[in-house]
Amino acid sequence: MAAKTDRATHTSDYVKNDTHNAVFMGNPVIDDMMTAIISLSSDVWAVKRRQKVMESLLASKGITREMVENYMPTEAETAEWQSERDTYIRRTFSHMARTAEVAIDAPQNK
Amino acid sequence: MLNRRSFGAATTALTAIGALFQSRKAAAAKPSWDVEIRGTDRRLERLPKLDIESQQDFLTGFRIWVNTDLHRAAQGRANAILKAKGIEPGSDPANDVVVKTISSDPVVGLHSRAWIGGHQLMWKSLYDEFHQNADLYLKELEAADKAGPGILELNPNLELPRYTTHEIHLEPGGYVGDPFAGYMYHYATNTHFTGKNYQDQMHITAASSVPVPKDGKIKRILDQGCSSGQMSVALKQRFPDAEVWGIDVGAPMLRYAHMRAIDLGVDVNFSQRLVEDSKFPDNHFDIVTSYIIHHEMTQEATRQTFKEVMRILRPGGVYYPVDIYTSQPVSKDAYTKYRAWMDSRWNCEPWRLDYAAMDFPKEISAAGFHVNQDGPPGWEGRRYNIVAVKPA
Repeated sequence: MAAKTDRATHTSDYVKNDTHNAVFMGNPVIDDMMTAIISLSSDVWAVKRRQKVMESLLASKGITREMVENYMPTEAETAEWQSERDTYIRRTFSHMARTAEVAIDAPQNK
Repeated sequence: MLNRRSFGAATTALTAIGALFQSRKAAAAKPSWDVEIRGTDRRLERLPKLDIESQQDFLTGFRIWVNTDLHRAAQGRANAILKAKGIEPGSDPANDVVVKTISSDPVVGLHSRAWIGGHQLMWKSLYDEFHQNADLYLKELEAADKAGPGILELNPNLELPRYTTHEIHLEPGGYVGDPFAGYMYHYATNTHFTGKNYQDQMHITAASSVPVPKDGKIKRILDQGCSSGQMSVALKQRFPDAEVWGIDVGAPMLRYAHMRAIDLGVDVNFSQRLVEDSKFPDNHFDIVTSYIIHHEMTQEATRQTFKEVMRILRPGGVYYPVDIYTSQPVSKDAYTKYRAWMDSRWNCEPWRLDYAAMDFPKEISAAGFHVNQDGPPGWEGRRYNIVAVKPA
């Protein structure tokens, strides 16, 4: 979502692209599923990369893998994590809703 | 005919140049207004969140896969389909025939979707970050606007030609419509260039290849369509005694370019002007450069730009435009042509095919230049680039 601000942005009017109408895989739902898979994959990699950072740092501080496996989250942590989970799901699967925005006479990659 | 040797200093070794391009911290103290949440990796301010950096890292790897393995798979399918229809893939078939023949193939479709989908996500993660923290970054830009070295000239009355206002390569708002256009462009192109430009290496290569006028006199240099200012900065670092100007149509791009140049401690002037009508005095510059702008311009604007460069360059001055086809011929291969069409139609590069249809050396000559088609390459892996000289 675009920023709401009172500060000067020094922007001008522009011509919007129409790539949201593109259908490459014969069915817009399949196109959107591919986009969702790419998005999901990028998040999976982000988690793996963060985990690598943490494992390196934790190992240097004496935190073992077993201690991580057995950790019990607090109530506050549980609530925070659930909120993050819901944001994550919206970000990943909102692409599926794009199908409704594709004009019914949209060019089929022609 | 001019040859490469006549341009002397262009052969400067990259390793020697490298000494001039060390960590910004060696040259500049961190400004108080600088938003630098996760520090820097030499010339590059790290992205503000680890997750965004990791998403861009993934999309970098994904783009490499799409452009290699998936490209080969789709190209193989496309060629087989074309041959079955009696069309030889290397025979320069017409674009509309190629598009009609291969675009319904599922592997070709997957290649297109993976390429565009990756591109869209690349912009989205950056857009969300900068807009969610808009005040923080706008405050940073406001402070930099008034700081130096180098000046920033914005012209709110500049009439923007419509061709400049599209969302080129799907950047949200294009170069003119989003306050964070410069931030997004810089980090997205880092991904687009598949990690080969994190330290501005590509711009440094281009800047180090710029030929020097025969008389060796370099007082002023102009970098046209400077975007986030990486080429302008590299030019100033190669030619520290010259006055370097970067011009662009987009105020948000220039604000970022100016801010980053300050951050690097490099004295470059940035100004909002049109490359085809710059308003600089006649015979003002010794060198004029541009980096990948012409494929984003109409043919008419490009022709007008050649005339403008002829006007503002001094006799004996050097013009060094670097773009897709200044260092390689236009491909006649069907799938390569299809990809160029895809780029133009769905990646919002509206004038790329018009650009490919132009005879660049002929057009530059028509503006009055002496043209050398075998000048030093501005890109790693290329063998030549066009160089034009204004007759003395």
